[in-house]
Amino acid sequence: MRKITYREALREALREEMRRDSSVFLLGEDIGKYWGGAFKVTEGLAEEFGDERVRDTPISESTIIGTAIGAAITGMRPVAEIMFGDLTALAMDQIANQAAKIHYMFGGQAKCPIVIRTPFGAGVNIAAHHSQSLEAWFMHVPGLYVAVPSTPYDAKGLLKTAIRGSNPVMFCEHKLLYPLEGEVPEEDYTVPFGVADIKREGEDVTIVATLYMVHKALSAAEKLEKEGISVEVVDPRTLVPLDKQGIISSVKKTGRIVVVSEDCKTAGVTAEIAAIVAEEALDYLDAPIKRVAEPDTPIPFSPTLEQYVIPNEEAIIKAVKEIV
Amino acid sequence: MLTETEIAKIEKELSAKIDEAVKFAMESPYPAPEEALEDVYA
Repeated sequence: MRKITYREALREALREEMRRDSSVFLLGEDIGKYWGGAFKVTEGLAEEFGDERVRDTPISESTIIGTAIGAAITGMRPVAEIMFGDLTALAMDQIANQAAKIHYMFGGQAKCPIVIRTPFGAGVNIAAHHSQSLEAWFMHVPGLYVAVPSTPYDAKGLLKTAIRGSNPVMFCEHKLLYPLEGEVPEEDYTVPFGVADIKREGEDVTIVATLYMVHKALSAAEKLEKEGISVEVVDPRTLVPLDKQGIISSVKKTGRIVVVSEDCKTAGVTAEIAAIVAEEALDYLDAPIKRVAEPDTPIPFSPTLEQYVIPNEEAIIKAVKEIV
Repeated sequence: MLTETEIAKIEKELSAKIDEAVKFAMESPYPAPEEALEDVYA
């Protein structure tokens, strides 16, 4: 199968959905023909679809999402880009108090099919305001879906599902994943929400990881295999809806679980998944649940400090060895 | 109103301060990794 990058996979999903459905349009800062997006995901799309369907907006995240919501309620399918995940904070009222609640507050009579694409993640020395992983903020708001693709295949398939759906979706990308290459079919396909993917099969311990941490978990698993420890890597692919059964099935097989996420440990992604396993699968566990997450600090600028707080392969290996 | 001479003087002073700060930063060792956990709260 041909290989393309995560960035190209996202762009293909946007292009194909825009060709398929004239109600799909894009809006965001610098996404048009002058720049093509801060991470170049939308490069070339304004040339094909024009300024009306690839709209450069003023620097106002709240306006971007508010505009998208209004368009969605009246029948359009906007895909908004927020340049850095951290800046979703500026649009939080629109996202959490408006988009998430419209269908509920109107008793199902209004839909809000918006997709908000935004990159999270640390590792490129851009400090506290451009490096956070805030997926858990959105998991906490009923009415939002939260997608977390870790591969080009998942990125394209999940983005198509997000665009074709009827609900607001926080589509969480990761800065370090954009250049990653992977196999993506030429033909049309989608990846369903709420279906975890086993990225590597194993017998002794389950690692649940998302986004860039999937790749750190996979390389940790390779090293552990050489020491005789067989690791299963489970990627939920969407945090809302979450494939609880997929995670629990793996735990039933291995009896051990390490949950890995790049966000802060307190009230984060790992906290939620660990709690679900403790509540619903404790009887299958042969060892305590382990979590590997960012310590509760802002992301520092200094490369030395930044690498210290980002969960790494060594921390994953250590956590596995503590329970195997 | 500032005169051109005064503006030039301020710019020169600030430029020297910045040069000094950059020199200090470049000559300083990287911080200890654990310092990442400091200063989150006062």
